Amino acid sequence: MNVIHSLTLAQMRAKPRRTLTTLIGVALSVAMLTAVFAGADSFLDLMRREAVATLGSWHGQVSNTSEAVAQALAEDDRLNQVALAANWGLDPAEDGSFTGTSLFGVNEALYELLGVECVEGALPENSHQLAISRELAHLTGWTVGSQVTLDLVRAWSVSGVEPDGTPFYRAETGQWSPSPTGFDHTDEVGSVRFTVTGVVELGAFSNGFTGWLPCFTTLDSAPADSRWNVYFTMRNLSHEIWNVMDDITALQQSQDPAYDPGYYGRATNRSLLLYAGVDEEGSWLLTAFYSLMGVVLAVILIGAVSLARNAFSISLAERTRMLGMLASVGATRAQKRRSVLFEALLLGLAGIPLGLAAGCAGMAITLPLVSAQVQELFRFHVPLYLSVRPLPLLGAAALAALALLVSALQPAFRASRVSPIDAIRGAGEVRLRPRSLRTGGITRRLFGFTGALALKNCKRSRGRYRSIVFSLALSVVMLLAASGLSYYVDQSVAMRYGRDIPPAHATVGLSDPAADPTPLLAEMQSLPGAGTCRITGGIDVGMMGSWQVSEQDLSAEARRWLTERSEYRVQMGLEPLAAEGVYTVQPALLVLEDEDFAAWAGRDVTLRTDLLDCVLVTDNYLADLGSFARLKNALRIEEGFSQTFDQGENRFADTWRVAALAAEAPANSGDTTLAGDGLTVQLVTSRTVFEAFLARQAAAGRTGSYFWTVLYTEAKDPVQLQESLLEWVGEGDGQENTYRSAGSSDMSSMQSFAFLLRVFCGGFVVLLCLVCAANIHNTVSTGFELRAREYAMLRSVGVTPGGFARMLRLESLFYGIKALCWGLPVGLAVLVAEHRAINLNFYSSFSVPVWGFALAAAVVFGVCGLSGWAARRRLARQTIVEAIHTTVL
Amino acid sequence: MELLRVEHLTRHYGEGAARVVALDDVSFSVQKGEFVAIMGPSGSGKSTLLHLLGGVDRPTAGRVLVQGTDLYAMDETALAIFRRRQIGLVYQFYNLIPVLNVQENLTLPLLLDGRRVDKDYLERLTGTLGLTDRLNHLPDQLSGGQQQRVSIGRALIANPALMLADEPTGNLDSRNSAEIMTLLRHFHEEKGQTLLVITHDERIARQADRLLTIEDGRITRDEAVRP
Repeated sequence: MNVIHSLTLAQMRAKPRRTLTTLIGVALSVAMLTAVFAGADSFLDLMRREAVATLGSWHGQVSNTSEAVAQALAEDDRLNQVALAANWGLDPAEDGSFTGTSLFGVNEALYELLGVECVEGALPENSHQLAISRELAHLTGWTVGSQVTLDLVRAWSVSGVEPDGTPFYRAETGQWSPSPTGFDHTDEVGSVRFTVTGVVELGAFSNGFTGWLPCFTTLDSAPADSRWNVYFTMRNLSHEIWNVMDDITALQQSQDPAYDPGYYGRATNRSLLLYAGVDEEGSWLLTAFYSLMGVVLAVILIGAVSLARNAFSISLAERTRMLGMLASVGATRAQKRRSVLFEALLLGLAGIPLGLAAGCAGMAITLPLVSAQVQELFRFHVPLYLSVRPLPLLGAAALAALALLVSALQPAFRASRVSPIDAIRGAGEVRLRPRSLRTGGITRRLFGFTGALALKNCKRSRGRYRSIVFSLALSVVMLLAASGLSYYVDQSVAMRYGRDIPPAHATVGLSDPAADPTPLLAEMQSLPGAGTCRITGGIDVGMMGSWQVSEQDLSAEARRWLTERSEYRVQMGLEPLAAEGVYTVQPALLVLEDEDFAAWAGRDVTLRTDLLDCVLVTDNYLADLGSFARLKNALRIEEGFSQTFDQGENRFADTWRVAALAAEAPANSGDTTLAGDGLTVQLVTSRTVFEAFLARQAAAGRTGSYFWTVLYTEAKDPVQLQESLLEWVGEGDGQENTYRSAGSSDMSSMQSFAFLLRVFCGGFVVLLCLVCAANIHNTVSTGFELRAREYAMLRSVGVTPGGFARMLRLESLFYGIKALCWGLPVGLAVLVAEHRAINLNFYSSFSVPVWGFALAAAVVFGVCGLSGWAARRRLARQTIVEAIHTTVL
Repeated sequence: MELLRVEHLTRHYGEGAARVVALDDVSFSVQKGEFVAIMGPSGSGKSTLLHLLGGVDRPTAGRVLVQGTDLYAMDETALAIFRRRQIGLVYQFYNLIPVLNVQENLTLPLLLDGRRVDKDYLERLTGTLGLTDRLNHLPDQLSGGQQQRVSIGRALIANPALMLADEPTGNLDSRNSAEIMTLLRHFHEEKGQTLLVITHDERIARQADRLLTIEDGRITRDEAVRP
């Protein structure tokens, strides 16, 4: 280490707090880069594992081919593992309890490539031994050691309706039936006796024949004219696989007399090929994935470079005098330049490994936490966990190193230009220009002289000022973008599925509306994993009559949405929503338990029981052909509005009336608030009013349909509840005039998506804000420290401690205000873009997440205020004399 | 009339074996309108004394009374306000605020006090200081002599009772030094400004009414230069 390096190190040690803050900032940036790389790699790995779990780890396959083709492939050098399955034949079940058994002679590679696992006993070692699937063991009662005889028949069609070779067999008659084309074959193979040696999980193995349960023996004694299935992996997975597939076609043509050109029989494991970059057709998916990753990386890099560049500039400002002195005793430009680069090297050496470890640790904790939601969202069978290869980690490290180098370059070149005169002149401030320091009269009037002085201080170093404002504005934009995304997705989920739906719920329909659902509620309440249970009910859209409104009765927003939908309908060749400017409005009724109703509507809303008295929800959630809208006060309806409806002879007939209006539909009303297509309104009434209505109907000998009851439960343990609900629903469906169904999985997918979005956006924004905070803290506090002497000077000419604190506070405030001036409009533009993108399917008038703005402002002023406060405390500890004598070296 | 009274003023730095006695039981007084020069070798405690007189440091013991007000009996805020109204400080390295222009630097104590600047007085002062055409310049656009003139103006703008200068010519060439001393003498003679100047320069010291010599933190000589 030469003298320049020693001095640089000493300088870094002399400012431990700043060095540590910069180091944390660098480590956080690297951690974020690592998290993106590790997250992306883990996700790709998850998809690879999912492909292996569902299809197997083979790269290509050919089915229903000849032994010659199979053997040729087994000897092909380009292939690594070749799994062979010779189809011995089928044995229909004698008692007709299931279709039957299909026997395959297989080699060991098959078990591996298709994930067939022995769970009991051992895999067969000769052609007298048999491994059976667990399901087959369950259906037949066969166990390890059982002696079984299979009466095998080979049956397939080589052409026609069933091109995959599925045999025609009717379990109910026990007859092989001829295919319509007459090309099917049935050959007796004969009886073969086996000893069951093992029970297997089938993994990704499928014989493709519905109902025929596979069992396996060894390959050696397969009947001579068996049809074979071949699965293989490539020695090197590359585009060569397409040549192999072409060669297979040629082989089939030349080596398989029964080859049917109409039956393709060849396939590749597309997902695996896609993730290896071999499948070009699906590469757009990876391109999209990597593009998204690129955008996220770019944002992180902007934050990281801004932080690092600023840190080096600060460090340079602190060292200008020292460098000038070094120059005066003969330090060359290169030596001065190396001083900054050496600092970058040290920060990189410490920060990059730290960041890599932190990023991996963060993802190792986060990914398993969100695994359940990811599985739910993408219907994956395998869990998500951290799985990262060395290359992406190296990529993150290289990118971080590059960012550090880029950040250090300009300060390094500035350092090389420091002259001896800079050492004499002072602390290396940039030359000030009166114009750039001009402050408006308003500032002085509003904040006094100390305010004007604070603003001049902000503006004195344009680079530092811009860097702080940029970092802060970036934080504001990111916070707004993340809060907007979360807000609009939540809004869309609400439009599509109603509000606040518990993740697991059951629908219990009672065909007799008067039936008491309370015993069922008690039953549901006792389910393992269930939380609070609720009952709602109602009458469907369209079953309570309708009335017509003209366009003038609609709000401008509703008119616009309905017109757009009508135009779309016409394009699709459907009826428009309006007929000559007249829309049909249909109500849907929601019945709440009395307590729930009172809690929602307020105690002062009283309903009459002599008619169907309701509260009308003015916030309309509308749906039309997969497009959704949330419209406020779409319809002009006054209290007292009433309608009469009649479902027909001996069916419900009554009058409903609007007793009061409410803006929001009740929470936990689930998809009951989801209206049908077109213009619908939501009515809400209490159980008492509804029971009085039922009593009136019963007295008049009327009965209703399209009435439903929904039991909702919140989940204490969602996974357990989901399982117990499914069982409960399965047990009771169709009994006692009820039908049951368990929670909508679509909805929980959307909720999982919203949750994941919040976790990842939240995590990303928090980390980015921390990087920005480190940057701001460094800049603000060093800015204050560099001016310690000036501040002491101000104090010596009579600035009071209070005035001094006020000045520094105002300086922080001005940074915050300026950042908001830039950040809020840009953030708002991002929100508009997000809203527009979501509005394509989920229409709502533009609104913004107010909490997002509040959060952004709080973060900005919080970070600035804290940095200023910390610097102020340090400065206040120095006496004026100490500070005046401080010479920044 | 006594303007400044110093009683048993002591200042230590450090603790234990590292303790340095910068000022050791110093007492003296200064009459209103007096021009006092303070001389002594480096490290004798001159600057410490001046800082304590200016209220920018805290004594270990003793009192400083300016017009009967004990500086160190006041809290920080009261002392700061007292400083900007009653004491003018001039430093060797000018210590101007780089973001403020000449006029703002000059009027800084008034601006901090929220007082209106007397334009006539400012014009006369800047005229005397030779800064009339430099009012909108920033400090780094001025020469060393000009910067020191701004700092003298800043010290005088509030009409302080006491003006203290710590080697005001220490950073200037002989021509600029002579100009600065002429100015200081002008304010002393024409306005009756009480003035305490620390200097190494015997020629400057000889222009004062009285010369205090400090050695090892003690006043070793107190002599009248010009009776």
